[in-house]
Amino acid sequence: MKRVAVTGLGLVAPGGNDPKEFFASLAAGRSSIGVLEEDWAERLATRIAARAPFDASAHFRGQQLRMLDRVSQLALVAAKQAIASAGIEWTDETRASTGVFFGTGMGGSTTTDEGYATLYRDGSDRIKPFTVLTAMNNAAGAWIGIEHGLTGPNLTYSTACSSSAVAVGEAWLRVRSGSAPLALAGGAEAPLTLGTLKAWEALKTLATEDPLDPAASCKPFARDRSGLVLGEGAAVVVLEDWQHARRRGAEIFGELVGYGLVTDSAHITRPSIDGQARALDLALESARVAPDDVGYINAHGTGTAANDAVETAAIKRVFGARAKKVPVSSTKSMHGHLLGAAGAAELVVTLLALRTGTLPPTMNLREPDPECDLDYVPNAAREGQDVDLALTSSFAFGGTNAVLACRRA
Amino acid sequence: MTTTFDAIRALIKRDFELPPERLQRDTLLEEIELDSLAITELVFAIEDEFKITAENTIPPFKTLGDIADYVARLVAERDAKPSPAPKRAAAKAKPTSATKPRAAKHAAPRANGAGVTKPAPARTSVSSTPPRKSKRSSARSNARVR
Repeated sequence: MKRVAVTGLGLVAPGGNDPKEFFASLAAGRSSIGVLEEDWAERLATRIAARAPFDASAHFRGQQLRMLDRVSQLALVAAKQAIASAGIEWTDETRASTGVFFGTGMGGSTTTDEGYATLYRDGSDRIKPFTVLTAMNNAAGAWIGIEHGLTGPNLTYSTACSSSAVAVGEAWLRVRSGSAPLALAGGAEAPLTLGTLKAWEALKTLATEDPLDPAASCKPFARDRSGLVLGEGAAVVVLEDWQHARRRGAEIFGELVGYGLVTDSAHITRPSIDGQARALDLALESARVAPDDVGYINAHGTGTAANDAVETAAIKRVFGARAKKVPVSSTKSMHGHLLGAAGAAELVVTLLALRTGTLPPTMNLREPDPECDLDYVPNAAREGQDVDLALTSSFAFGGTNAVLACRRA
Repeated sequence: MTTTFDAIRALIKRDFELPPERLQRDTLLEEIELDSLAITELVFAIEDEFKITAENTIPPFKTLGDIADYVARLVAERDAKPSPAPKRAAAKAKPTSATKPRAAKHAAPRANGAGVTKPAPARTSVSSTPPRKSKRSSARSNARVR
């Protein structure tokens, strides 16, 4: 088995157009959740969402743009950053063995939405000629492969909210097994369209707007939590065989040491204590560490009534008496739920928390829910923490529970 | 013929940001890097511009002149058969015309009239249903917009 280093980080998400800017925003407790300004947003019951500060025209030209849904635009920029930060000098050999492992829940949903609007709303049959190519779920991963000439496996995982955690985990298995020295892994989501937001709204899972401060609408683990806030973004990491990375003198941002993946197969949305606990257990087991070794958990923490209580109970089951001593935070309180990009983005957060010794907070946690009684790092970051090992959890509709374990390099 | 070519040249200039001096009748498509997808996109724009419907399989064009000739042929064929069937369909489809300005407003910037003006020769068999559908959807979207 190989050790797996993380040698590249790339991210575009609410609060930052690169990992450093993003983490600084979270460490400052700054929420990037706001009110959608678009005219169509008037039709939403709650107009809040988390937008990435991303201007596509700064990265792509007209003809290219027409071929890329926003989800692929975000993905390509994050991947480019990750590769640049890894400082890889590609050879024919590394290009041929390097795969792209990508996650997205809803793929090119802007394209899908526009296509339906043209067809049904406008009564026009003139759907754009690239609708299939821009909407398909594997477009983002494929474009990353094309842009960088990576001809190893190119796989897209679609397991809703755990998509990119699964993508990273599966890439980790490949690099760990020695089948390739490098892999690109991550995910992207761009769900802020009328159709997608309406669909989530209908499911009654979205947070209601905080009457005093819309930015404080997502309140994980709080008694007054009312649901999740959707966000858009992309995050990509470069995973690399530890020795390979050392030999070329690469900067190592952290080590990915474990991956737990289980499925509830019980209910399509309802989370399960048993499923989440099994994923946490497996992540620890594959990392060959004990619960006592864990110094931080970046929670799934969506801010829904069901998730946060179940997640708390699952952590208690795995960590026993020590559960209340492990800092657990949900950064979704600031960047919203990035769905298919969430797992990878929160892995970036977790790696930077280990690296900087700053644990980002769970914001908007004024009144704790009696059922949620752990140390959630409420309302302010905790600096100067000497943490060696951390977990990051992603639990999805469909029941796919994924937990990644990482260690400070 | 010149006008057909000039119009196509203008579309290419607009959508692919190529200088007009590089766009001659004998310019090879590979010279200006218009691959099969770019051609698909160009044909889509041409359909809107010339109010024609390209055949299901796009011929293997080599030069810009090939495209211009093809378009000229389709335009001539369209003009040559003012059959009564499409006329009837057009008359029946009148209610949809109310949706035309909306369509133009909401559709992609390139869409001149969003193609709804295209007579629907293939639609004859279902000519009674689309107008009704359009009527409904237009009423509903009005309610939504306000």
